Amino acid sequence: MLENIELGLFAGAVALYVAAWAWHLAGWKRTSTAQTGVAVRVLWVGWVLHVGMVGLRWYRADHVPMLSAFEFVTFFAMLVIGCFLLFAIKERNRMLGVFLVPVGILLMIYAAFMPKTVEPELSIFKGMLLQVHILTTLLGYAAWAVTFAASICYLYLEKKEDKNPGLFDQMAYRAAFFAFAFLTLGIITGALWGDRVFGQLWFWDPKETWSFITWLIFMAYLHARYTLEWRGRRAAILAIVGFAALVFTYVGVDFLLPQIHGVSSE
Amino acid sequence: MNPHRLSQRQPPRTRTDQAIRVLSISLLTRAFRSLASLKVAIPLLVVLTVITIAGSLFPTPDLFWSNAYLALLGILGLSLLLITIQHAPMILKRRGRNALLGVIMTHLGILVLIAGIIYGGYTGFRHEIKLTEGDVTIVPGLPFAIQLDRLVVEEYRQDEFPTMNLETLPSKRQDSHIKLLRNGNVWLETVVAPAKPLRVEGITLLPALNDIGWYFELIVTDPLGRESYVPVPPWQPPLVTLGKRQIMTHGRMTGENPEIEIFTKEGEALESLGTVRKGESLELERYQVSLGSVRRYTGMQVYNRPQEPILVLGSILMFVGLVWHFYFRHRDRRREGRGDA
Repeated sequence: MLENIELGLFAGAVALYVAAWAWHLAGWKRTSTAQTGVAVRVLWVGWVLHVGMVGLRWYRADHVPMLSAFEFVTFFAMLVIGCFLLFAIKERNRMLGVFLVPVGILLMIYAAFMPKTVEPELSIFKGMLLQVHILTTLLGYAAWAVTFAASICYLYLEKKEDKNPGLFDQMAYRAAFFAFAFLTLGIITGALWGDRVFGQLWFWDPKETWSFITWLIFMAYLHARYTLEWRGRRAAILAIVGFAALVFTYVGVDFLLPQIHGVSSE
Repeated sequence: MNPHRLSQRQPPRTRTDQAIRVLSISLLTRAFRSLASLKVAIPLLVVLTVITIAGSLFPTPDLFWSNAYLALLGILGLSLLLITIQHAPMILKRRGRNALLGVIMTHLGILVLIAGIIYGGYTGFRHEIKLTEGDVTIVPGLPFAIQLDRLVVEEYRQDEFPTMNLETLPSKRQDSHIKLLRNGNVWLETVVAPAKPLRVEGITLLPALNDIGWYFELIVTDPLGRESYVPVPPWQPPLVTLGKRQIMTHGRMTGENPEIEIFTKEGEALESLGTVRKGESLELERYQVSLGSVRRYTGMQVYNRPQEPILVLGSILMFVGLVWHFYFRHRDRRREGRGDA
């Protein structure tokens, strides 16, 4: 019964995300703020369903729903859409949704193909440290997804010779700061957890190595902006490179390189 | 002796000496200036990133632990240190220095982390040992001996994990009941498990996640009726000589039943001579071979981590510095009425 409700909420959230994105696209093409306003409201409803689904999963699994591959991806998608909604309110700018909402939708589609069985929590996964590690890392990833979408918006508007693409440039920078801070915290807490479980802080496992590479690219982005005064196009391209590294860290490494991460996604 | 006269006896500096002195000072200054400039730090960062990517895609054994890679990390750390030192006085005088203090804090955090890693590399120790039920293990340099009393293992059932490969899963429960002995007396008695290490006197005892199994014993009775006990640890199965024949052994558990298979080498191939189970014996070369005690063993890491407080301090400095910088920069820009944060 609860499993069916959870699936229903999942499907409902995906459907509303797709609808919101279509609205966004239409509103954006016609430069209609009313239409993008509706899109954001639809997205809100979808997100509430998504949060409900994650909450139900938490109740059913009796542990924080971030441990199996399905839980991890849906949680990540929830944070990505949540980040957009936060920025949509704070920055009063909805164009970002055209590029950011598809990231959330793709994640949900990816999750749809994963086993959805609720499995017990492994003894080694118990404790706050791992939860803080996953949560901070995902927040870092979600914030960088905002940087990525804002950079794409910037490049698009620059090409269209829009009068104010700089808004997106700034948005990308602000989100990058959060992304870097959270990813830093995520890497550190991950190392401390690894130390508790495996007796070693750092293994140079491919996932760790690529997290480090992504972190270096994020750091290069912030330094390039801060000290070399990189703005606009060059910074946007570096942000996209950072997102590509992030996607590779998250998805590519799982498929291409052998590793000790992701015990639960076996 | 008159020191003045002594100094007079020293040969006067030649032009070459002076030139070398000037040149070396100039080289040092240049090296310092180069390392303290972003023009060097950023290419170093790029080189580090490229090498790390290459090392990950085309795995090279021990690349990331090599001196060259660690030296690159060290040079980057030194460069960061010099940049921070060089810019700190200027930053402290500037407007909006609150935000820039965050930058200094973050970089200081990275430096503390690197220092902690280097310090730990020189002062820490690590041993990987095997503990067998009932045995006392002495680790050189440790102020106590370790005795494993009992290892309680509980495996997951298939119905608990319908979608997962149980062979790759760590056990559900893996409790090592241990005693620490000092001068032959029990000093501490506790239970440790993976993710539940024991920290005592700066030393950590952490049971291995997957390195658990069975430690067998073989009883060999010679033709004269004399018994000898041969340990068969799975990580180092012994070669046993029976008369003119050498045998190899391999212990395993089939469900709840322990058994040892015995092989001999015929030419290039291993030939099975039979299997010994509980209560049975096998005759080979007029020797009787039977199964002795079967006990559990676990791998355990014993290490100290003197750098841990340094790493925690570095991490806190880094994170607080980032948040600090973002908050003040954002606030200052807002006050100035500019959107650029």
